[in-house]
Amino acid sequence: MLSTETQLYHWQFDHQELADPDLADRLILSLCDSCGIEYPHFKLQLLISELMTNAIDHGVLSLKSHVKDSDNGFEEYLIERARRLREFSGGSVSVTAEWVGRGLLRITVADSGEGFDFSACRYSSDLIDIEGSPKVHGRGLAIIKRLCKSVVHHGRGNCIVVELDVSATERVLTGSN
Amino acid sequence: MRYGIVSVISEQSNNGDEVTVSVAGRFDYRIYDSFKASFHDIDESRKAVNVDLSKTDYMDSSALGMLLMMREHLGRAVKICLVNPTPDVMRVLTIANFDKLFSIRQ
Repeated sequence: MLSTETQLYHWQFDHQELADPDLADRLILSLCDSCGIEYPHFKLQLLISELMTNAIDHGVLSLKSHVKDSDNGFEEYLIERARRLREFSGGSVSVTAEWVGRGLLRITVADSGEGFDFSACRYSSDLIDIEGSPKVHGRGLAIIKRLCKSVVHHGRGNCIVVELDVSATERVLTGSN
Repeated sequence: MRYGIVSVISEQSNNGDEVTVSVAGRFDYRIYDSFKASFHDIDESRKAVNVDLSKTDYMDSSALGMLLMMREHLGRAVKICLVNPTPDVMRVLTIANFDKLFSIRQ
């Protein structure tokens, strides 16, 4: 491996940058460039997108997923999201990445939000309940869990550390866990 | 931006039984308005809605939410079929177990 193994890459986004709809795309490009990962990398792209959505929506903006439950809920959620992005100030998200093993990338995403009680987190990696109905909430986190080798919440629930096997593609993605 | 083209096109079959909604480019919350408009006027007189994913090169959890929203709006009488997903999109559908919720036609 290259000397990048021990290097820690860091990105910090202030509130103004969090409102940029292309933020996740810019981060992925920069991350691939810094870490020497070939772009596009679909799995990494999906992971970063889900991590950033959670950090921004539920972390910085304190949006609750149950808003999506009502009729037109998804639309209301998007409208409220846009409003809070315009009106909120002071929030931030920080991202770090480092190689921790051959092909294993550790990504840490911490947001300035209130966090959540992850000890009571009922979201498993299953996206369908026992009766075969789709789960309404937690799809993003379930996808993160399905993609990554490990997922650990820290702090008050405002920090997530994941490890992604960047070299593996089909095996992880089509696995049943 | 790699994903320059994003479009949602809706068209009817000759006998009017089926509607095909094609999503080209990136399928995420940013195309919410056009995706919703593509099926909003479809009622239960239609037998099936095909969602053509052959030109979709990215999909995330917000797209999964939008597919469920479509399923809810159309009700059980209208069959939704996801058609020709690209390999990357198929991976997301598999991760989400959506192959158990929707019929997928390659």
